[in-house]
Amino acid sequence: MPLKKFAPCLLFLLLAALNTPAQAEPSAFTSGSYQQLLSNNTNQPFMLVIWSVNCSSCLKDMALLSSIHKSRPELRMVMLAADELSAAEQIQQILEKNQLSDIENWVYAEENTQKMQFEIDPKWYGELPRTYFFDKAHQRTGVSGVLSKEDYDAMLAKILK
Amino acid sequence: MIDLPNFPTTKTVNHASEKSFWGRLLGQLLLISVFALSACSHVNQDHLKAGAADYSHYPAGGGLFVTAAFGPDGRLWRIVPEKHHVYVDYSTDLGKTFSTPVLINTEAQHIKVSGENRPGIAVDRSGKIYVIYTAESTQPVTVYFSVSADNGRSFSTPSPLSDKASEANSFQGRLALNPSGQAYVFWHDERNRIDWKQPGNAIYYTTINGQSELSFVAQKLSDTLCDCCRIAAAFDNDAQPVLLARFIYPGGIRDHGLIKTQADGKNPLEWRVTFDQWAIEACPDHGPTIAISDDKYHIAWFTQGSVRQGLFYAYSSDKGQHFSPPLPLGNPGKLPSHPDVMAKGKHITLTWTEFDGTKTQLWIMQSNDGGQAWLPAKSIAESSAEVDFPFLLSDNKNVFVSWNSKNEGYRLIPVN
Repeated sequence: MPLKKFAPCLLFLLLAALNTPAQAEPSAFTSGSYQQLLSNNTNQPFMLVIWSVNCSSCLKDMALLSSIHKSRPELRMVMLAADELSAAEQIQQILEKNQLSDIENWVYAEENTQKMQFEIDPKWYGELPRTYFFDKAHQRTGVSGVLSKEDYDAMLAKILK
Repeated sequence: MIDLPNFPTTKTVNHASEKSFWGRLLGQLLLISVFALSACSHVNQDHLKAGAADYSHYPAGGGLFVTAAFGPDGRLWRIVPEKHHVYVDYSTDLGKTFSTPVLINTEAQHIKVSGENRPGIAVDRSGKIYVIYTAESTQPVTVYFSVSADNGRSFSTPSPLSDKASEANSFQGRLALNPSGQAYVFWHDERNRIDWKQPGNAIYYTTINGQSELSFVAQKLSDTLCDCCRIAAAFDNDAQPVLLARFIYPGGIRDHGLIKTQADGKNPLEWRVTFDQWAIEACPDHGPTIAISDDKYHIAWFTQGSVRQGLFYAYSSDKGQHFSPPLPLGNPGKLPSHPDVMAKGKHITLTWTEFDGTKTQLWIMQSNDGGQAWLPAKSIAESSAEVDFPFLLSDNKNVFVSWNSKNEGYRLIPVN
């Protein structure tokens, strides 16, 4: 039967269409996605970087994030762009340029950014960049602003021990 | 006495520059077919509802970042940005209903607006209406300017405000009229940025007069400003503009400073006025507000400095040289944000929003003695979805908060 013949092909297409954590396109971050993000990284320490294509300070940090990713392949990094779905292409370009496109990455996909922000952190005013360091048990520390290499090393030492 | 323009008998959006009959007919046919095709439209195509505060009479449903201003005859004028077009409409019943929108840019543009990077509108004593908004041009972002000299029936073709618009980004424009009705526009300008690793932006400005409306001469006002925050502007007793903005001080400290122009070609003065010690390299997206009345300066601002965190108010009786101890505003556990201040003699009003994770509350606080003693703050409205910043407006009789929101639409809320 023709369908049987094409089944592997269809299956491949289906799998390709599903979003997996190590994907190219940013995943749509909506209300409730923060819990999904946490469960994608259960029992693992990780670093969450919240940034925006319009944030000059964030873009400045990219090169350093890129070198951290290269020098610490064991560190799970997650990036969340506080933009909108229409910026997906721009986000991809920036991540690719900085060799960060193979990590789990998200983009705000709801208009009510205030609500999503609150779900991530009720004490955070939304200033960018915002970086969260999660230890294995997902206890986290949030830091606002561009971080130096020394800052990263100090924070990562705490979560990766 | 200002004449109200006649509502057009066929209620469509006015395309200001379409003069020919066939052009208008084609425009109307296209508009009707657009409405016929729009999936979720509940607008009756034959009688485009002119006048709800819920934007159902807008081609693409309106926008969130709306700016409003009263005109001399008590009409409330609004500038409403959609994705590709910007409109102006007005209300004669204090914001309950609005007129058919008038289109500013007949050529579609990629409009770029946000809470901090907002459109502006101002109406002078003769009824002339000035508007600014940002859109993409050959540069990612450019401030555009347009004016109506016929009480809002039509607007001039928008033109870039900055003389270097095609070379450098211009954004976060602030339009203000001085007491004599002279229009100023201040904006963030990237023409001086050479080393992009160094943060800090310049503010340029221009005045607009009746004759040379379209030949703007830009002057540099200041630099080393935080480029993520809106500029606040007011006028001193000598009619000089006074700006309040977030600067980047040595050590990367993002505190606030005042800038004041001087007459006779003297350099502008600038000095630091908040000392919260917020050392950070980040985009706070949270600009301040200023009002001047009776020789007193009133300011409110946001900070997450090491000295203090949250929203604060202070006043100065010596033209900004010294300020009162910062007064905290709002419930620190509910992210108090985006303050606005209005000063009418000794009567001072503050407004801001607070968020509890689901609802946004609109708060006001009033003083009757120039900012020393304050009545308890009160919540006067709320919203269940996305909101814009609140703005205090006055028609010289009463004070209102102008507040736009996605679910509840636009509201002009009296402050009692």
